[in-house]
Amino acid sequence: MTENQPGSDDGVPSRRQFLTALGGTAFAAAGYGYGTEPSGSVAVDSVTGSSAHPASGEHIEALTAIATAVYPSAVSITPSFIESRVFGRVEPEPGHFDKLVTAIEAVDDHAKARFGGRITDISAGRRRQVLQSMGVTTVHPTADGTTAEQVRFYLVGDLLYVLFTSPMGGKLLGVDNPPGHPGGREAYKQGPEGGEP
Amino acid sequence: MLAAVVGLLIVEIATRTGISMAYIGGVFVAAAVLISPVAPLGGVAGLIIHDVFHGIIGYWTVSTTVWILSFAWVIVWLTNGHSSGQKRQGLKSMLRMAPAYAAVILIGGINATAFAAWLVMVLGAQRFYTAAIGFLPGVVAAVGLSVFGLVAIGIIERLGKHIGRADTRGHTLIESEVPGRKPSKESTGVMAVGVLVIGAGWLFGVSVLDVFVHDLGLYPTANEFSAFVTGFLGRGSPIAPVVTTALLGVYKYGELAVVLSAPVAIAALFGWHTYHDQMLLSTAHGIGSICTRASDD
Amino acid sequence: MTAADDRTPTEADVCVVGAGPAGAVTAYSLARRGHDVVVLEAGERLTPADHHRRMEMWLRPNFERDSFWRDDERDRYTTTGDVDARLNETRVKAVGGTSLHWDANTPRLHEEDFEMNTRYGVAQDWPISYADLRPYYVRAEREMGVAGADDNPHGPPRKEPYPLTAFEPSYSDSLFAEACEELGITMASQPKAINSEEYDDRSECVGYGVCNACPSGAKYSAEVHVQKAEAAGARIVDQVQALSVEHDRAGDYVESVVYATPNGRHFRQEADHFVIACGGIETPRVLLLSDSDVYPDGLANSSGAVGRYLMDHPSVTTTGTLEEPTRQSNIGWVSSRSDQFYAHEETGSGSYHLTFSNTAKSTSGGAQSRSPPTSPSRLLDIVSNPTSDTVAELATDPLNEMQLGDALDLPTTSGPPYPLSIRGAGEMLPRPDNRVTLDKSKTDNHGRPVPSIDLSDGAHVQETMEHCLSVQKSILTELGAEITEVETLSGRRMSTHHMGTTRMGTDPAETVVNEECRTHDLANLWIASSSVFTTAGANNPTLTIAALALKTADHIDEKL
Repeated sequence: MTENQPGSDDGVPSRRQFLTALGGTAFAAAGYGYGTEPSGSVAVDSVTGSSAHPASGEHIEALTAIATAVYPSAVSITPSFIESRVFGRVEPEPGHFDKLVTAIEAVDDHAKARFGGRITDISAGRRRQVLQSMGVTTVHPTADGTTAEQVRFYLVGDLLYVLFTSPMGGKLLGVDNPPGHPGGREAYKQGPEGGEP
Repeated sequence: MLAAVVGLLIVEIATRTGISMAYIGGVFVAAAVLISPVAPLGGVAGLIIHDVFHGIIGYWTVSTTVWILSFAWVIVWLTNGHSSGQKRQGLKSMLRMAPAYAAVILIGGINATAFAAWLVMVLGAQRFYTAAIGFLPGVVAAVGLSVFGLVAIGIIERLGKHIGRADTRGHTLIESEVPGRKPSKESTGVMAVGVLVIGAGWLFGVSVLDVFVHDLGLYPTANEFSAFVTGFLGRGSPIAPVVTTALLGVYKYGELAVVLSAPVAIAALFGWHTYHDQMLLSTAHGIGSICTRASDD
Repeated sequence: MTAADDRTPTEADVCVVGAGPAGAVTAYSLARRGHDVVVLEAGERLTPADHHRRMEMWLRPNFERDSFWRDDERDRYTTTGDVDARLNETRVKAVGGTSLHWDANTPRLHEEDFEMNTRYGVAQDWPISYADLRPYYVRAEREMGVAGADDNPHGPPRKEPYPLTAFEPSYSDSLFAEACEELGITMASQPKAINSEEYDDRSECVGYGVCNACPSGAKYSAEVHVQKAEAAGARIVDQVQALSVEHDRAGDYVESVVYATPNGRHFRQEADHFVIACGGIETPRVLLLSDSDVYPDGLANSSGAVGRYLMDHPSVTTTGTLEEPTRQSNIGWVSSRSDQFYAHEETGSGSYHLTFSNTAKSTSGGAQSRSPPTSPSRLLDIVSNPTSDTVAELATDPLNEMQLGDALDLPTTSGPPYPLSIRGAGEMLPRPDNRVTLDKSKTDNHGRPVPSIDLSDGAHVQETMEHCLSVQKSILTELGAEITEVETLSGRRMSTHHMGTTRMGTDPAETVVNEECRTHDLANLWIASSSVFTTAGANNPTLTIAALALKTADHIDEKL
């Protein structure tokens, strides 16, 4: 221990600290229990505890309206689904929810400007036109791109992520317990008729 | 004032019915050709009033305004200075003029679209190519409406002559500025072709480049992209290094090239405008020395 | 300043470099016996919430899966062989190591893997036998919480039950079972370090289906033993890179490990014993970087074997479709395997094992992916293989517009045909030219040469995996499946298992460590890693890594 200098190594934020700058501290005491109850039920909320997200009721209504345009009509969703699944999950990266809210506002403003009303007030078909006319449907989802690319990344991407990791989305894919959903260990054993093989 | 009110009404109806603003812009530009060169100003005023009134001024306001005004301006620019006080000469003449006007409007639309798409991109709203795609239907609308209008006017004029009514219409581009007329018919034609080439190169070249730049963004680093290209081309082929270098150039500098496209294109347009006569002369001289006979006429 | 922020050296009996399964298990095993242990780890600590983030990153095509730990400058490497090393996709530098994204499959090696030369006249025998390691396998299975069943007629012998009951077979396993029975191929349950019931204060598996980024804690990761080691008094110092290992004047003992902290300060951690547990690539690298007058070719490298004999587990997969449902992707892990073709006598070539898919459907993709417009690969595909359909598609929809609403581009369809697949992973024999060296032309964040990986498949691998492919094809054909994709060795990339680069043996002229995993050259330098494997077998190495770590810890304990 020759260079045993006292002193701290703080002041150099680590990459992971950067990745988890928001929200991470709330879990410091959680140990490695990961916050999942052994019951097999949905347990995300117990680890997230995320009551503080930047979305207002209007944002959630707007996002729900956009979801009805993005999702196939067979999927019926409610604002509470959007709030719990989108804003209730662990924020994937710091600032993600803020960017999502900005994207929601961009779409809503565009609807007001060029489609005669708020995104919640126009039809699902018209909502799709809003996204198309913003250039969202022909770009890659890019986190730091143009407004359209960010709408694709944050807004459309989040909607699709929560859809395909929910049993509702699983139905579209023919998967009862889709990856990302803690739906227990029965579905993988069941045969096509729902029974054991 | 009246034009602004009409413009506001049209914009309001369009937004409520979800009609793309590109089409409405096309209508305003056609109005410049058919009614008055200042007609688009009224339309633009209506658009701005609409967006201010609804509290939704955004990049869409700025870029659509710029697109309409630059579209109309290029048309005026290309047709200006060649006014011969020519009066409309009936259906036959109108039918002859229509293709020339269609060409001029198309040239205006291409240049204005490139400029407005660039602006949308610089404002951080959309990619160049998606913005361009958004405006292009408006160019088609402007050309279509104008040609349709010219033909319609020709028919009305003809009918009017038949029943002996005097013309009471205002001053329009058609009666004041007929493109491609003497005294410098060749020079104007060449001028227009030059503007078309520059505008088309700008719009389509940069669109394609932007699509590539956008897609190459899939590779987080130049090394990874280089590895992909090398993997596809292999190392053995003699053209591989050239293609790899070119693609890496696009990867590294494509974004910058898209951003710089507007200043470069605008400089080229003005350069061509100012010097095309001299360029033409030197080129004609060159061609003349090669060709013994330019024409059989 | 919290204790975790203090990265200055402290008094220690044992210094362990690396906090993956090998390092964490060694540290815990020694700390619980009262020894002062310091663990140096280059990567960072993750929180429980981070694992939820990782799950989303794993599932979403547009997030970087490895962004939690990758540091482009620190983790540079060179790959020169036929097999692309793709190191930063497979290894994890973080507290918990690569077990943070492993699949948690924990078969033991087979008896013959330890005596390849005696039995088959190839490679070298280990200096220890399966029987020597067997009690440590039992302990390792308990430490990690392995769920399994003693139902494998071709598996290695065992008496003691698994600590947890096996997961039941999947529906698709029952489809495979019929075909395998017809062909005389025996299937067995796949042992795995995932809780089939609550164990060790961790949840049972709740079916998130994203094992590589398990957010529930049901899957074992070395974080478990890091925390146990800390509870037993060990000190884990994260975000410190071991730069070199320094020895005494005579070269008989290691005196210290020099490491760098995030703010660039260098320290020297002294201890009585040192354990290098940095995996199959960084372990030989740090030894090669620690060259000296006594060891001009690298520390503990009198044999010249450090970095040589690199092995991985080449794999091939055959995918097919059925008209009846295969019920894929309702769970993340593999439930069944076959060791029918593990013995060379069966194949006429090398060993391999088969695993039967439960995840042949991908649910992350479709409209979620990048690549809506004319992506270069899409264009190149069309140009290189133009069909009327692809050309028409390009002409009518050059930007490949994302469809929304009822036409939404789904990652997979719900209806027929239904996919299923069989994967086989096989044995690679140790060859001296497959090796890790230092690339002096390229340096990392501390200006040190980066590892250069040169790995190529030999004839043995080719023959083995060809046999494997033919068996896969026969099973799918027997099932009545239409084969849709065959992933051969062509263009393959290195697997996640890096073995053999500081191999174990009795001869100091040929091998790096002895049967205790202590280096022949230095009396207090130990290696806990798959790098000590003399041969690789065809089975996942982590349980063997943990068993060897427990054994090594016992030997260190005897010396302390």
